[in-house]
Amino acid sequence: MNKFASRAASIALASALAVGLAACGSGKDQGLGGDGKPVTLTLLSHYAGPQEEKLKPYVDMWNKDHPDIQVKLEPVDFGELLKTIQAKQTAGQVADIMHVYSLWGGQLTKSKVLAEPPADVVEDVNKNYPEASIKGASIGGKVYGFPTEVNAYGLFYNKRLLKEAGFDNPPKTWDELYDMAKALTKKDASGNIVQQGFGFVRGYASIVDQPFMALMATAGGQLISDDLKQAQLDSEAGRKTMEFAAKFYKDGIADVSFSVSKTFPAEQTAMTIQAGWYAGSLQGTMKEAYANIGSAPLPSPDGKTQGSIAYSWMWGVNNKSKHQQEAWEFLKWFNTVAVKDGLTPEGAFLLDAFNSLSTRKSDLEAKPSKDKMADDAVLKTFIDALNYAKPEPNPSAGAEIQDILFKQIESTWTGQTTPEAAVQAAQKDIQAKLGAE
Amino acid sequence: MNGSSKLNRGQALLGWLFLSPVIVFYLIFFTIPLLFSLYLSFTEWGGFDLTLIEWVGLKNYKALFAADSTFLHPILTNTFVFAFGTVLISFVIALAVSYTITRLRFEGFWRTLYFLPTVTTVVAVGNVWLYLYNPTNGLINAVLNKLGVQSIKFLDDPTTALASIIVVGGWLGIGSSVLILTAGLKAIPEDYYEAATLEGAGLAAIYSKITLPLLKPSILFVLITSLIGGLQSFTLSLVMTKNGGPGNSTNVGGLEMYNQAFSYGNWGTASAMAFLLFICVFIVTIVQLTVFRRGGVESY
Repeated sequence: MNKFASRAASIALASALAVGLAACGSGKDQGLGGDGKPVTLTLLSHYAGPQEEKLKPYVDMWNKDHPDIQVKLEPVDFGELLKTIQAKQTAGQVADIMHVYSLWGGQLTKSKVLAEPPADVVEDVNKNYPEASIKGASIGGKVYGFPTEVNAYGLFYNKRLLKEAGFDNPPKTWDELYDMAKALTKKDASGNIVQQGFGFVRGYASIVDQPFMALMATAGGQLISDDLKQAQLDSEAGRKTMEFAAKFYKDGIADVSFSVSKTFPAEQTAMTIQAGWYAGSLQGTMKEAYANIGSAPLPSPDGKTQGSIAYSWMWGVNNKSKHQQEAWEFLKWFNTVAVKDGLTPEGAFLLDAFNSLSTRKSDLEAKPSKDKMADDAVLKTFIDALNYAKPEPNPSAGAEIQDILFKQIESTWTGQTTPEAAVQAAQKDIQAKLGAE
Repeated sequence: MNGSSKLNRGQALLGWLFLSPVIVFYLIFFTIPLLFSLYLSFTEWGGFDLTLIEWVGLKNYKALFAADSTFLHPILTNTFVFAFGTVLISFVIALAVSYTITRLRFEGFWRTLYFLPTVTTVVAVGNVWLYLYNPTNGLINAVLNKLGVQSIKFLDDPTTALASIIVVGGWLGIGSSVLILTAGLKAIPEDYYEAATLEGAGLAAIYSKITLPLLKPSILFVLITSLIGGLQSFTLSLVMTKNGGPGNSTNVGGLEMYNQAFSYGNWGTASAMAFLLFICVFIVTIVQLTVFRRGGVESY
C-alpha cells in the first residue's frame, strides 16, 4: 500500500507540476539581451499580409547590418491591434516596438505603456515634421514617437459616373453634394439601389467617425475642444452635420446595405469620403478603371470653408521593454536615415505599400515623392489637405468616445433615432467620458 | 489508532493526491481569476499595469444601474432575448427532431447530420449566414426577390438584426440538444410504451403521459446548459455585426464586456458587468431548477 501510495503521490505531484508549468509556460523569450549577446526586438503592428511583405525588406536590411539588434515582425489585423497590445501587456509579453494609432495614445500613456523618447528623437521630430504630424505623435503636448501614416480626409468621386449624369466637376457645397447624389442614385423595379450617388463607408468606428468629423470641420466645428475637456458635438456644426449625413439615408439616396467598400471600387457608388490611403487601395483593386477616380477637397456648407481632419499613427517604444535603447536605435534608423533614392525606410515603405507619402521633410523633398506628387493629382489633394486638416483628438477614453459617436451616427442612418436625439445622447456620453479623465 | 482508521487516512490522502492536479488547475484557471475579477469590479484599471489599479468601491455597479446606462437596456435585454430566443428555437426543433429520428431507420446518420453544425466553428457558421443574409446578393434575398418580395436588410435593419442572429444561434444549438434528448428518449424503457399501447393509449397520450415526464431530466439539462450558453454567448454578434450594431441593437452582455475590457481599457466596468451577468445566470438557473423540482425532477 505504501509503495502504491508513494507512486500515486509521485504521479499526482508530476501532474500538478505539469499543470503549473503549462500555466507558466506561455511566457516568451524576448531575446537574450545579456552581455555580448544579440537582442531580439519584437515589432507589433497592423501591417499584415501584403503590407508585411513590403515592410520586411527594410527590416531585413537592418537585421543584416545589425547582427546584435535583430527585429522580428509581429503583425495583427487593425481590429485586433489594441486588444493584442492590451492582452500582451497584461500578460507580461510586451512588444518592444509598437505601431500606435494616435487616438489610442491617451489611453496608452495613461496606463504608462508608451516610453518617453530620448531627447534627440524629440528634437528630430520637432525639427523635421509638419505641425499636424507632430501633434499626431504627441499626447498632452509631449512627443511620444515618430509620426508615420498621417492621413487627411477628402472626397473621392468617379469621374465617369459624374460625367454620365451630366456633371463635369465634383461638388463644392453640401447642397451640391446632396443634389448630385440624388441625381446619380439609380434604383431597380423593386426599389433596390443599383447605383448609389453618395455613401459613407461602414464597418467600424473610426471609418464612420472620421468622415463625420471631417464634414463637421468643413462646417467650422470640432468634436472635442483643443484642451480635450469639452465635447462640442452639440453645436451648430455638429447638429448640422448629423442632420446632413442622415438625410442621404432617410431620403433613400443612400442605403446602409449598399456597401461602399465594395461598390465604390466596382463603380456602383459615385462619391464617398475617405482618407488618402484609399487611393493606393483603389489602384490595386480597380486596375485600369482607377483612371476614372478623382479626388477633391470636402464640400462645405458655403463652398468656401476648407476643413478636414487628419488621423495619424506613430512608432513608439514600450515602457516595459528591456531593450528601449536598442528599440529607439532601430526607430531612428527606420525614420531618419535615407536608404533608397533619398527616402527613409518609413518613407519608402509608405510609398510601396500605400502609395502615400511620409510627412518627414527629407522624404517629401526626395525625388520619388516629388515625382509622385507631380504625377498623382489624387495624392496631391490629400497632401494639400494636411495643411488645413485638424488632428483627430486623442483623449485617454478615445476608443470609447469613438464608439459612442459611431453608434449614434449609425442609429440615425438606420432610423433608430433622430439626428437631434443622437447629438444630445452622444454629447452627454462623450462629455461624461471627458469629465471622468 | 487502529489499522482500519490508518487505512482510511491513507485512502483519504491518496484521494487528495489524485485530486491535487485538478485542484491546482482550478485554482490557477478558475478560482484566482474569479476572485481577481471580483476585486477588479470595485476598481478602475486600464488593463496594463497592476500597480495602477485604483479602488473605487461601488462606482462601477452604480454606473451600470444609472438611468442612462445602456447596460440594462438595451444590452442586458438583448442578452435575455437572444438567450431565450435561441433556446426556444433549438429546444422545440430538437424535441421534435429527436422524437422523430428515434423512430426512423439509420438513426445514427440523422443524429450525425443534425449534430454537424455543432462541431463547426461558430465563426465559420456566422460567416456562412452572413452570406445568406447579404441584402444585395445573398441567397435568402435572391429567393425572396424571385417570389416578388423586396429584399430584407436582415442585419442592417435594427428591427430584424437581433432576430436574424437568434435564428442562427437557434439553428446552431439544435445538434447538441438533439444528442442529449435522443439519449434521454432511448433511456425510457420500452415496457412503458408496450403497456400503454396494450391499454389503448394513442400517440398523443403516450407522448404527454410517458415520453415527456420521463424525459424531464434531459429537458432540464438541455434548458439549463443552453440558457447559460445563450446568456454568455457573444461570438455570433461579434462575427455577424462586428460591434453589436446597428447602434446597440445586437449588442449583448458578453460583447460589451469584451469591448469594455479589451478595447476601452475599462476592466473594472467589464468585471462589474461580468458579475451582474453571473447573478442573472444564477437566478435563471435556480428558477429552472425550482420549476422542474416542483414537476417531480429530483436528480439535479
